[in-house]
Amino acid sequence: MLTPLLACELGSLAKPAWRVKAAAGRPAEEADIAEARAWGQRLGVDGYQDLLVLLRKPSLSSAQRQHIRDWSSRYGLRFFETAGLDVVYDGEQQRSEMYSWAIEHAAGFDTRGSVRSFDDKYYTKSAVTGPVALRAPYHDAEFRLLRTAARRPVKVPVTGPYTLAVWSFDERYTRAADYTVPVTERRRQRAAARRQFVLDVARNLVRPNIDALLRLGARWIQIDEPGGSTEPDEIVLMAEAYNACVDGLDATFSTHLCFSDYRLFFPGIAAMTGCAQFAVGFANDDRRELGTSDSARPGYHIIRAFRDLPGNPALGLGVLDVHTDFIEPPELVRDRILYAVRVFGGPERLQIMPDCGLRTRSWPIAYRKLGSMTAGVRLARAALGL
Amino acid sequence: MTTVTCYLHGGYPHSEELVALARDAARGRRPASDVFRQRRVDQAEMEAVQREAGLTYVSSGMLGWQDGFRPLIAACPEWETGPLRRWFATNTFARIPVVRGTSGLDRGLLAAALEADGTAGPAGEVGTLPGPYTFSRIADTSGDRDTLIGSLAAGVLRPAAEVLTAHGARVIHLQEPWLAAHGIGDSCWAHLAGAVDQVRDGLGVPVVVHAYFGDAGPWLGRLQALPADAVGVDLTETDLTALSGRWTTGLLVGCVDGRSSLAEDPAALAALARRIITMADPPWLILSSGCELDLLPRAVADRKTRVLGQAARLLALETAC
Repeated sequence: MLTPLLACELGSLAKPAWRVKAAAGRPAEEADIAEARAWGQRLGVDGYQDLLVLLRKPSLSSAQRQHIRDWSSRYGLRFFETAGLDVVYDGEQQRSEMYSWAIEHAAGFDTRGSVRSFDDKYYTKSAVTGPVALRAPYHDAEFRLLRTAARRPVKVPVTGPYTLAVWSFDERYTRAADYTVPVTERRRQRAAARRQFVLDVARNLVRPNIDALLRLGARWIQIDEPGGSTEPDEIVLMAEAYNACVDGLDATFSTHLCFSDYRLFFPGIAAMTGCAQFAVGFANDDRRELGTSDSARPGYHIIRAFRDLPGNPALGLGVLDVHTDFIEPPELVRDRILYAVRVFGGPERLQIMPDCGLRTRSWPIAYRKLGSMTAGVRLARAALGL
Repeated sequence: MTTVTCYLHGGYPHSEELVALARDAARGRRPASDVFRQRRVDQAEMEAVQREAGLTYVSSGMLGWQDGFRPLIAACPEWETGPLRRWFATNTFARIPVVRGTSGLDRGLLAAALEADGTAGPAGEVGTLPGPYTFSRIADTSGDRDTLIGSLAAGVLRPAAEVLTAHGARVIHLQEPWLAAHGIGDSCWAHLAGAVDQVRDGLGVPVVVHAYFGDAGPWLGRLQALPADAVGVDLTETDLTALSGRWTTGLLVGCVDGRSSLAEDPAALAALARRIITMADPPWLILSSGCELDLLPRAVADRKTRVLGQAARLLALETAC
């Protein structure tokens, strides 16, 4: 896994309109079919004409809708492969969304409604109301498809237990606050309740789901914890839950953290002993000018803390800002990499990826960004004589 | 004698219909006019919930504000929106203001955003603004943050407060979560006091400074000394006993938890308010939410709004007896 400057996929891609409409039971329009044709040709998707035939049907059976989701996965896979990435997945095309997909396959949760994440982006938030359990493994079907279709090694993203818990309301482990109880006691009760909730999700939901993936042959699992720094005093709990998911299992495990004050993660994440790679977004906070000096790369100063983690894990270096349509020039990607190489004293522990999933960008923008990223990796490799 | 009022501050959640329309509009599947139309429906419904609940002042819910800074940034010609930052210990993110230049807020731009079908939506009776201390800590600035407290008040918050009151705001609510969540240095208090005075002096409506997302207890003495009409706390994080002692300024009690879907018991809240009146005897007691309710789904927020109103009614009945 410690291949220098390995270019990796990270998380979700936007879903094509034809896939969204099929899932909603709406017919594809000519523009959607044209889009499917154009991307099928561009990405070299074998047999994409069969998808076009399917999209022209006036109504779709449940099985046909699943076929369309499978096509969406194949498109996503080729999207990353032809962009030049070394490690790929399908952009989570089969999943509704990283949180709700897991919750939909869990027992013990009830939907409460939409909550804003940022701008006009929302997610459907649920509450834990009963014992947490896995109803059915929720990544098996997509992995079966992708393990045979992929031409490059795959990494399976799995939403982490801390994020699943902290993105949920808690109506099981806590009660409405009694303000007459001293706040120190209430905090103690809240912390105990949160710990039990997070560990129940880790042991009873995420780990059994990972077990199922490993039985199917998955070798690299990325446990996503975008909610990881929500409560700074719970970083240790996030690490404990991560370990509860992976301890004793035979595979490569990594994690993804994003859009946080990363200083909060230290020293807590040092306890994630089985974590081979920390994939972290930095470009969001960086400048767009070229340069490899400290002053040119303000978004990357914190990587020193990741460098000094025990066990020498790899750093998944986020080099693409996923919240803008700005196409990072290859030279900018190169300089971000070269800065990190200098800080780390070599490229061995560095792997390259976007800051986060690109699902808020259109496919043309995401493709150009990834193409620029892989071009930047090539420039960095050349500069380093690799 | 304590005067009791209740209101909601900050943003209010969008309905499921508005969420779906905004999503479709962002993907080019619906025109933006559909979003504006649904926002008016949302506006009317949430105002009705507040009126039926009996809240003293009706909040606009800031349904057109993507976060607490955006229309202000848009009204400051030299400013820009920066990268996303986590909004304290929540799973909501805001784009930080990139504060550059000295031109300050253009009243006309903010007024236009607040008028019919403007991007920000109506002002409402509760004019919520970021507090000057929190604003100064969150902003991306190359200048001195303590100095920024005063310049934000003079150049942005006071003009914004004037625009909001001209559009119907009957109270200005300054949100100061940074103060409770991360604390405040001794040297900042004079800057903050000057900034609050700058916003309030001659404005004609009361100004409330609300410290939440953390324990305001350690700061209550100095908060009460600010030239504000009322000081707010978040009881989720602040001990009830910290409020004891005679208050000479108003007290806003955040007693509805904006981060929990569990509904509070109105009778328990009324009893709590009665206890606070006994122990603190503030001239003005405001019942409100600990933090803004837009961290909740709409249906949950509606339920909590009704609880708040029921608690205030129960308290009023007891007081009348």
